[in-house]
Amino acid sequence: MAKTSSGRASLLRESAHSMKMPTPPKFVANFDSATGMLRANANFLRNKDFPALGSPPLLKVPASRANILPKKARKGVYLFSGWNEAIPPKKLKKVDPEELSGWVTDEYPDRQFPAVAIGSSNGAATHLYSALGIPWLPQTFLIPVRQSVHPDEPKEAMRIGLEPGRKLVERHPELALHHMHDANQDRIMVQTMTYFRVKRRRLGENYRRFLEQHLPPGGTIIVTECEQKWPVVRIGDRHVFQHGAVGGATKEEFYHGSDRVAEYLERYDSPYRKWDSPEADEEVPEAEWGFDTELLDDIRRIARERHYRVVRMRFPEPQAMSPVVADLYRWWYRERNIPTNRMICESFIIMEPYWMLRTGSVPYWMEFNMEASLKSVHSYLDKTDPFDEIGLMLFNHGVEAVGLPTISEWETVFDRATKKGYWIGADPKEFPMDYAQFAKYHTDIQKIPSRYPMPGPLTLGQFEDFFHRRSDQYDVRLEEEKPKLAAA
Amino acid sequence: MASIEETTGRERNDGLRGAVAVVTGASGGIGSLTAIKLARRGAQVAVSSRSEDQLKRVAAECIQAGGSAAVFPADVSKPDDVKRLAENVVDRYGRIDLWVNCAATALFSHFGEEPLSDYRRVLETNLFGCIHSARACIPQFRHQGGGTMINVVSVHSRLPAAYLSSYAVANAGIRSLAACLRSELQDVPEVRVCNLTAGATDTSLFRRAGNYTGQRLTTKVTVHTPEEVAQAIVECAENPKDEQTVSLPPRMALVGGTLASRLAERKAEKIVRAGFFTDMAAEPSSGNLFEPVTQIPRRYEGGTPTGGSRKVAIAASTAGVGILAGLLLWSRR
Amino acid sequence: MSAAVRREQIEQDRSQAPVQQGELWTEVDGRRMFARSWTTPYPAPRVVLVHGLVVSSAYFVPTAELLAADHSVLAPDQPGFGRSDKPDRTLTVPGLAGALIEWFSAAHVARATVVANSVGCQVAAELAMRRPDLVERLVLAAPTVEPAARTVPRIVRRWGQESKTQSRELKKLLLKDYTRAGVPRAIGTLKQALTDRIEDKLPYVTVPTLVVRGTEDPICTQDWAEEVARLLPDGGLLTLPGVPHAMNFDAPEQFVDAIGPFLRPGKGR
Repeated sequence: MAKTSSGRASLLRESAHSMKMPTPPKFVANFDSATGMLRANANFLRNKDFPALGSPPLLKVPASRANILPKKARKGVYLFSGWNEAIPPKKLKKVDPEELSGWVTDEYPDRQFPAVAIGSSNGAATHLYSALGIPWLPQTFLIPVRQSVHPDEPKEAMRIGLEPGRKLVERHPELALHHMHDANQDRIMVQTMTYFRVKRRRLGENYRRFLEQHLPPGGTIIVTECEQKWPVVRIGDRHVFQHGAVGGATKEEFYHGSDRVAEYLERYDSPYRKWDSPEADEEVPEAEWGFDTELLDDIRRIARERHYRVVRMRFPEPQAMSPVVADLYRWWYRERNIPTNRMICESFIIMEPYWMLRTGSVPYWMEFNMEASLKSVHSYLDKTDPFDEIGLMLFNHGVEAVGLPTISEWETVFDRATKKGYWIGADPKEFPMDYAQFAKYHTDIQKIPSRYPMPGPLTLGQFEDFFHRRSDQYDVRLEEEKPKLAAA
Repeated sequence: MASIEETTGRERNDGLRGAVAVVTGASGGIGSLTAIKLARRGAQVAVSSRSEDQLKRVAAECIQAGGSAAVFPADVSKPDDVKRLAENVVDRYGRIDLWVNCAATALFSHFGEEPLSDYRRVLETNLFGCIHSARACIPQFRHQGGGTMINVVSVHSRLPAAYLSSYAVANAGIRSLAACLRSELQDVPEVRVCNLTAGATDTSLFRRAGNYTGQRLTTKVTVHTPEEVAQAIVECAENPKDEQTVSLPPRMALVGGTLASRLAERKAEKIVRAGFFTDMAAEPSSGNLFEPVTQIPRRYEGGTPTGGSRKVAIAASTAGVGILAGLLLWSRR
Repeated sequence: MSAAVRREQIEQDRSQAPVQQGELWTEVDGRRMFARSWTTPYPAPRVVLVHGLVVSSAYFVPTAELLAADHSVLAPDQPGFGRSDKPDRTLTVPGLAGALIEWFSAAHVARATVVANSVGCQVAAELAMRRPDLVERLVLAAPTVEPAARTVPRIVRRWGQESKTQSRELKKLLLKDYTRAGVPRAIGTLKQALTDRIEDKLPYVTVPTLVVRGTEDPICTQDWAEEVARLLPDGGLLTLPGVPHAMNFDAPEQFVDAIGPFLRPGKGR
């Protein structure tokens, strides 16, 4: 799409809501990794930033004042917002995967791209897509379904979800359902709803049409494949139940309990001291992050027909991408002669691809706000040249969950900066119930005084060169598929 | 816990007090006076030029004037020198608020008779000097979210100068560079790039110039004293304006040069000849183009600093030329 | 054998062992697709004709009749046009090619030479790129849309010029087909044709391809026709003097004569 705006307008940030935004179907969660990252990247490709996680501007003002409320009321608001997003089980009939993918493709600007990414949600990869100026088509979506169950009774949650889940997968042969219940990080939410995560195993008409129209022959499909696995109970061919999720507590703790779990449950006045968990019988791609390789068949078919390269980007866990992308940005800034030495740690869907580049900051994405994320930041800092400044924006989910570091533990990250560390839009003493953060990270990041011109996109070649020169340092593989000669 | 903003935080309302200023070409002429005046306003001045000894003298004067100063020898025609200059200043002071480009050389010759290397050298020092400076300081300004670069440019950025084309070409380039940068830097309104246009100034610039004309040169007519120009630079630093002139005569010259470019071309040859050339012979020389010249050539006849009444006369005559040119242009239509 | 002679022969043959002209109905994506067919009484190489924007296979009939002397010819109406069913939303060029691929198997065509005109060339190029196994040889007659003309006002201007080259019969036929397709679909398909970048695909069309351009064609310029031939790995260009854009209707003899040697590479003239 041609830029018709004047020089000034094209240089300056446009408000994300200045033009009509496509609206997602009612049955999909707004407050989720796939929708959040999709919008962050789509906004970026439209030369816009990502305020308030892409929620309507009207919500921003009350949200920034959320911390005035007492903690209990705040929990109520959070709970209500979740309940409000969820759909009653009988409305599952209205789930239309093509409507969903139609919305995804509508989010992106109407132009040709040198590559298109398809696959797992990943915050670090989102920055990669922004750097390359390419769209990403998510494989996994969250359909929150209303149900009332005690958070510490996953068996009961599974039972209630059986029938609606079975019907959903029957209606949609292109989907696999990962019914998920996490009473640790999502303790508040799971009281009113259960998480149906659906993974596309077929491209479907809209994704296919998007590729046909926006990826010219000779273009590249990057398949983002997070190989994170999790133990599940198999319910049907395309239907599993997953107890727990990546982050604070371990797989073992979810299924069999531990002292930490008992302590946590006691703290939240639960009658249980370990979760009433069903027995897992296999490990499959994790519900939120994992990639279901069934989709590869369709990707290979369209690639063969339309002469696309297929590059599989595989990594064992979500945060494995973060050092690659942080180093890529640092290298890119150096190439552009930008004297910056600032790292900004993002968490979950609190992210800002636009302002990272405008302020010349290196993004380090963390999967959530749990121990594993803190460790991942420190281990990255162990291996890299020190940063002068480190900024931190933490997602707040309202639960003092198993494996949640304290604020002073988080602030150890600041000690790693040679000059200074700071919070971005956060009120650390309210953590993890600092809901105002959702509205404030985006304005606070603009207080960083540095401003650099928005660069043109990196080419895929530049990225691949960069990656292959130092691939031994990362837990990521970038493999080009050998083209199959025979036509279908 | 540190806050986000205080990366480079200097109170912007405090004039030049505490500002970190880099002055190139600071060993003499306009540059040295600018450094001293900035120091007097409380700036921390980084003085730079090719000759360290002279810089030390200027730095001492800055300190005497009540400011602080540090010496950073650099040849602005060398990108690495300039890059290092910027890095050293940032290392020492943590930022750069002001960058003044005063470094300049000149070359007199009948076009084509000079060695090409001399011609190129003028462009490298005058034009590339500014380009290297901009490449060094603009990223730092972007990093800080603000900063000012001031180029001192000659009226010959718009008026032709016979026998001085390298100098005029470089100046035209600098004028354009600033305009281009301003256009690109609209997303950071706190970063300013300014051109300050001066007329002939009573410095040793032209006396130290390379000379292949065969005639000895002098500066017979000057419009400004170096103090005036330095004062204008300081005012521009305090209150940056994109395009400024030191006083009325250069402004009229710019207007006249724009409105009556044909007339200016026709007259430029005579003006330069009358303004600079003497009857005495001179050996070909590259002057200070490649090495700093510490021994300033003596002034020849007619080269005394112009007094007040003379200045008014020059101002009036320049203005007259401008207006005349304007009228000519009108009557032709 | 020249076309005029052949036409005479066709008239003659019709009385003896006539080429069977018929209709072929198939189902593709749950919708019925119509095709005109000309079957020889003896086995003959297959040709599939792909029509252009908003028209239908009807304007291919003169060419088909000539080709049918020694080919088995099929001319489908693409979904949304002519007598075929109309999909709810206007198909994109790759979408039309996808339907054509399905139609090949529904009509039991394992492999055929494809002759396309105008926007039909965009569909045929996508088809040949995706499924070289289906396409024996490819004729692109007056391919569209030149990148330089890819705006609505420009293409409309060129169309205006082109309409002056059309015969009265063609105009009558077009009017009928346009009415049948409807204005929204015509505009929708035009939009799709303008967004489709045929030049990106041509380098991947590996089957032997002949580009044909008439000198009286304001839509497909000589420069563009040369560019198309150059982009094709195995492409040639024929320029036909005095021939317009819709050469398959308004200059069928010249057109069939010109592509004859390419269609039957084994046999000499």
